Amino acid sequence: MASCFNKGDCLKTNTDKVRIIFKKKADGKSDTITLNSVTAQNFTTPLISNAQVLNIFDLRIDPNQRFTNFIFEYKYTRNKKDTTRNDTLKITYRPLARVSATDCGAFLYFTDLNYVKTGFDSIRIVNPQLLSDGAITNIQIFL
Amino acid sequence: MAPSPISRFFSSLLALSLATSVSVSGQKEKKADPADTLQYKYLPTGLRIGTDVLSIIKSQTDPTFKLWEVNADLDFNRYYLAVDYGSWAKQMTIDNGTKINNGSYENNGKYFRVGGDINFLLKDPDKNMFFLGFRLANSTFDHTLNYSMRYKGPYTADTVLLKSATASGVTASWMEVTAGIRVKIVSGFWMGCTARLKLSPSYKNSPNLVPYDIPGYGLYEQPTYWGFNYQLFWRFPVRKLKARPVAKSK
Repeated sequence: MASCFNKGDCLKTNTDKVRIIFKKKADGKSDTITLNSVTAQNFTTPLISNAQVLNIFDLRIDPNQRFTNFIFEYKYTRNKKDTTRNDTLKITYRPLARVSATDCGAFLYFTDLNYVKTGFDSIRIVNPQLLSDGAITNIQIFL
Repeated sequence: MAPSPISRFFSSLLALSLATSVSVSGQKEKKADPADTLQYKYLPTGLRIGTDVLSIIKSQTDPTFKLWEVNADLDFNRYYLAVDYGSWAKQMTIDNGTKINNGSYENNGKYFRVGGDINFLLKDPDKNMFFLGFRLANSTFDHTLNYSMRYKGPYTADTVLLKSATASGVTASWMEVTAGIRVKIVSGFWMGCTARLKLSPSYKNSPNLVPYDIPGYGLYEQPTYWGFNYQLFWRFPVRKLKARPVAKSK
């Protein structure tokens, strides 16, 4: 039997990934950092490992909780000087089950994204709903 | 662009109502109508109470849908105060043809509508009606979704999770534009049809589950929705129409 996703009206847009972008505090422009690792507290397997140079990335949240506490180890450059830091970011969210049609299925969405604790200087939630649309950023972190 | 069936329907209703109004005013110019000589013409003359027959038939034929509805209206000359109250319980199976993201959804609640109708057959001696109206509607219900979800990620091993989301005391509201007829069959017994264009549904108090089906409205994901009632009414007179004494000629 064909899956409902073959139908145009069964659009599935849910995701458990929060998209984060790093920006420069001075001018608000995109910033490239070296992300050595990101782990979620109480979980040993790192979400990101093997130092990666990037400015935008996705982190998976814990779907069984209403929060996830991330621990970042990263390096960035200011005025030709490298700085290595460890910072935490605890985000909260609300799971929201939804049925768009009985022949499409039931899916879990996440909304009301917010942060409750962080070591970063400046953070902005730009989109509180986690959607699989690749163009949507959820959190901006200013360094 | 070709007009939609909805706009064609309302265009036809508008044309019919205008034609009726013109016809009625034409009669008025020819001779004084007895109805114009009545005292207290804005006091109600009868309370009409009925039920939706289609709801009863649906409840009897579909084991997953239990529905009943009571309708009432009270006349104030050509204007009618209309109130509806109903009960709605529905069970649905979610099946997308795969082994995951399937389950069941069920709701159970009560709803009411309050609004007014304008009768365009004012001069009909039997008070038959062709009407257009408006309703504000509200629903209070409980609902539950049980479903399966596959998860493969850093927090849990590859597994199928059985999830459940439920909410009690959910409230929803919407608006309706109505059109219909009421026809007197025999003394005190009436038949009617009402078509409803339901608009702008919204809900509160369901933080973890988006309603799939709202009692009294239907599918929440549809911003407009059609409804239809076939109704039987009993009319209880509350006041007799009293004619003014005819002035004696000198």
